[in-house]
Amino acid sequence: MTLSASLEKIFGPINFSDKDRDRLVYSHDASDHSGYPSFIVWPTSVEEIHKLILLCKRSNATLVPRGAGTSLTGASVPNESIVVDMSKMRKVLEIKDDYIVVEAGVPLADLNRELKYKYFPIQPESKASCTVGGMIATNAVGLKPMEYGRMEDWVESLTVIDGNGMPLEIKGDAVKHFCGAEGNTGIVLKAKLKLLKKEENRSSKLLQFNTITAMYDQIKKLRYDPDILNIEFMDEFCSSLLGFEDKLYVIAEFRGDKGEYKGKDSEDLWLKRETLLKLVRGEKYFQMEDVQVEEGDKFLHWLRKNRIPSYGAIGLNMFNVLFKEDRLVSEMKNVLKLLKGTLGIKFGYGVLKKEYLDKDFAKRMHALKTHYDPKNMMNRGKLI
Amino acid sequence: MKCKLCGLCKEKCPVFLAVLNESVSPRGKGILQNEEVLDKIYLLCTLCEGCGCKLYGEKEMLELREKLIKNGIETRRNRQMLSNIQKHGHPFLEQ
Repeated sequence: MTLSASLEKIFGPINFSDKDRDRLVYSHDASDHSGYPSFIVWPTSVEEIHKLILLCKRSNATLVPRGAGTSLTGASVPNESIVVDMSKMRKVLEIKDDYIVVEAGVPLADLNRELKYKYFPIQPESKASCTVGGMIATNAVGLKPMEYGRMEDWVESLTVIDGNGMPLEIKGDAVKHFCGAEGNTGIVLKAKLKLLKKEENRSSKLLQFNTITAMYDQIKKLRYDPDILNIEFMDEFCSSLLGFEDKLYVIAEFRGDKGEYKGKDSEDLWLKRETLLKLVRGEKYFQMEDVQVEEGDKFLHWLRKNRIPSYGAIGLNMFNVLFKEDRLVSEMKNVLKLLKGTLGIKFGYGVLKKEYLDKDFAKRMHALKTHYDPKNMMNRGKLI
Repeated sequence: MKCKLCGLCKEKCPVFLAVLNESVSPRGKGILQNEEVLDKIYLLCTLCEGCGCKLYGEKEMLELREKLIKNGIETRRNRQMLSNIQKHGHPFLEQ
């Protein structure tokens, strides 16, 4: 039996496709990298995925797990592999006081809707579409990384299926073998995520600056404030998209009522900031890069000199940088080398940012890959 | 205007939520349109504009569908409805 016939037998005619139209659509994610899948399958159960992995092992086929396909690094783009679209495994299985259990294909927007008095703190800018499985695979960073860290800090346990076809229950430190592995170590099936109680007692300040130097003087002070939670920055271009004046802005969030925006007003200010990604994508900026650089002020001066817009979690010197032309992307990479900055820290590495992967992390990932996926079937060519 | 592929439209599209195949999502249609593919899939849109995508306002989608018909791409049911209207004055033959 051919691979295509075997896949159709496992998934049925509705949840299997080899149509050119579907193959074209699944050859993209949100990046400008593309590659065709051989087939697309939409699993609806663990058993189907188990059978798929055994079939891939027997026939030397490779597979690419896919969440919402909102990656900006080509992480979910196939290269003649079988795309495993997890969209049909989207059940919320259990909600308790301090945790929620969901299938990997649950969109973050659905998870948020389920929570009334609780809160899941990792809220990336792609939250309108991104799925929990994709967030785990890329170890997603939300809008407030200074306060909440990354996805791995909020995953209590995982059910995964590895390249040996074994369903595994993963707890404790081992969740880090899957958070940020970009699908290299296995397919996430289910996740138990920690929740927070909605905290009302917080406030924000909106600060306006004319110069980067004045802004950084203030940021240095804010970082030492015992009540500071998050510090977010928008340059003149991004500020004007949100309807603010054409100036540099910083939103500083505090525990307690130090800021002039309190309670609901503070929430609304951050919600307004969340709309920025969509506004930016509506402009002519085809490429967005994620940068972390310790000497953030020097980097922002260079961006400003070259009229390159940016925004981001300035409290951690983490920036989203927007480009219209490739020439400036290459120049920025040279500037980052000089300033010892890095790319990929927020959106992951996928195909496009592999060269920026930390050497120790790459070594660790190689060891994990050998352990969990010795036949190198899963998301081959990504990350490592 | 071209689809920028962000994918933020998907979960707002009632057709995608019913089918859960990315090809029917606004981004799926955008990818096909970027490559100038004419396909019956453009008929799978409720014209609700829930995606908030400027590519798929009612006007743009109707223009796209007109292009489909001009290129002979039609469904059997559409043809049936058209014939019913011409012969009997009602798409579903109701009195």
